[in-house]
Amino acid sequence: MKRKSIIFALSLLVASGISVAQVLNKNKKSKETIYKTVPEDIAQNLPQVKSETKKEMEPFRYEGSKVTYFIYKTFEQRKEVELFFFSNNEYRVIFNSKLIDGDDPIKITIYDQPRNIAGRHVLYSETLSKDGSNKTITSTELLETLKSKLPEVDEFGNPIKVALQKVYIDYVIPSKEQQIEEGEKGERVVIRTKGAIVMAMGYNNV
Amino acid sequence: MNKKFYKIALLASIMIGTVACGGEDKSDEGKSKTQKEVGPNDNDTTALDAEPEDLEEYADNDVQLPTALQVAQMMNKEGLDYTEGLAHDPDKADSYSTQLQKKLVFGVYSADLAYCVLNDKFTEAQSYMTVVRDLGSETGLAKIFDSEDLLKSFEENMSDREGLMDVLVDINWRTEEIFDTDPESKKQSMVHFAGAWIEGMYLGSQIVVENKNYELGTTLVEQMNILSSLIKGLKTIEQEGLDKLIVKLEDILNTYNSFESVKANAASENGTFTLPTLSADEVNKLAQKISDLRESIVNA
Repeated sequence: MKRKSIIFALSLLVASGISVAQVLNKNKKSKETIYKTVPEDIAQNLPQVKSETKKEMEPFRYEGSKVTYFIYKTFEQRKEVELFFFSNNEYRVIFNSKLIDGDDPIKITIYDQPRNIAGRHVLYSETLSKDGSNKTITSTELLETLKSKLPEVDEFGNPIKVALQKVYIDYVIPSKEQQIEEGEKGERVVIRTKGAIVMAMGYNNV
Repeated sequence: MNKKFYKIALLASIMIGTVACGGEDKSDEGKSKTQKEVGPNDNDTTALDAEPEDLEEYADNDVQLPTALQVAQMMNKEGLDYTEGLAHDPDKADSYSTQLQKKLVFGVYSADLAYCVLNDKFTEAQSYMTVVRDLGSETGLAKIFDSEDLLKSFEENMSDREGLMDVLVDINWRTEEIFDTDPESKKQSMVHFAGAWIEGMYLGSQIVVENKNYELGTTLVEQMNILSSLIKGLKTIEQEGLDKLIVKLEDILNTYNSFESVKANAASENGTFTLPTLSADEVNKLAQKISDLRESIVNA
């Protein structure tokens, strides 16, 4: 009889243990995380922003634009865009930062080589703020900067002919404090703040 | 009796357990995949940054490739004159069946369209515009060509090169509008671009070989800089048959990189690019490789 009681008690104990675990699990699920991305209107605002950069491209012929999207994180991030030039033409590059978030500016640096190449040269450096004006640079200015950083002749005394066929545009996105809110059902809502930089390019049509 | 008791005890424990398990929270149902992602610990804000974010649209590295119009215009500056019969026959536009073939040939015809416009071949340009519209509509770009005003604008500018170039820029603008909000379409556009790149290289290299125009040859060399980025982009796309195209493009890149003039240029590189001047043999070899690849696309 005593043995039966022990077995019965143990069975109840096991079953109760499972129940308690499930209840705890339920409570944990009510704390589940939902990700909400803001602002929701970036895509709608893009045409307007792009039109502004296109207008500023004149008298160069508008070629196209590259939209670089990002989500702010709790640490700085770097995004790189590779851009091609033909050496027989002049290009204008315009950066628009109206779709970034907050007061912290984004840093742009243009290099002659990708990030994995040691000793690459900085050709242009600027900061972009949400309310600031567009930033403009031409391929001629970039080439002149590159030439100023290189020797004029090689080890045999021959002039070095420099051509800027592509550049690498690095954006450094500042960190942003994580925003967490409580949802209607008690769930945790993590706010993901999205931003975008528009880079437009045009070339001398003549 | 004992057996019966054990059975009851076991059954009771299973039932209680089952009831507990059946109480699973169903509130996940109907939520998006992103919403269902399991969150990190409450106090671990660093881990929050590891969630659903690594989407293609937020890639850390991206590339802005030139349009077919710009490529044609740069080559035109160096003497890419019109040669009868060099561009792909627009009457063959109906001969392609797979999406890959259609996308590649869309690119080929886009380059031919720009080539005709820049050489004032307006009647031919109109034929290319028609096939570009049809193939574009069949490969996910219907939204661009649905608009009547685009075609009307093209017809109104039929004898005005600059006006037609504006129409081509407008087509690019509308294409970008799709890509800006649809990362998958943007990724797929690399196939369109591949077709345009191959055709541009084909037109340019044939004229270099024919006319021994080495200034145009320099522009071709610059085009080769794009190839590695193009291959990299194509490798991110899953499409049947694309692997064969990538192999052929890699073969062209390897051939180019094995040229003595290119190797010598790389050896003297001082942290920056200088332009190699290809020998006649190298130009011929490159032109042949490109011609073979182009043939495999247009005669697929």
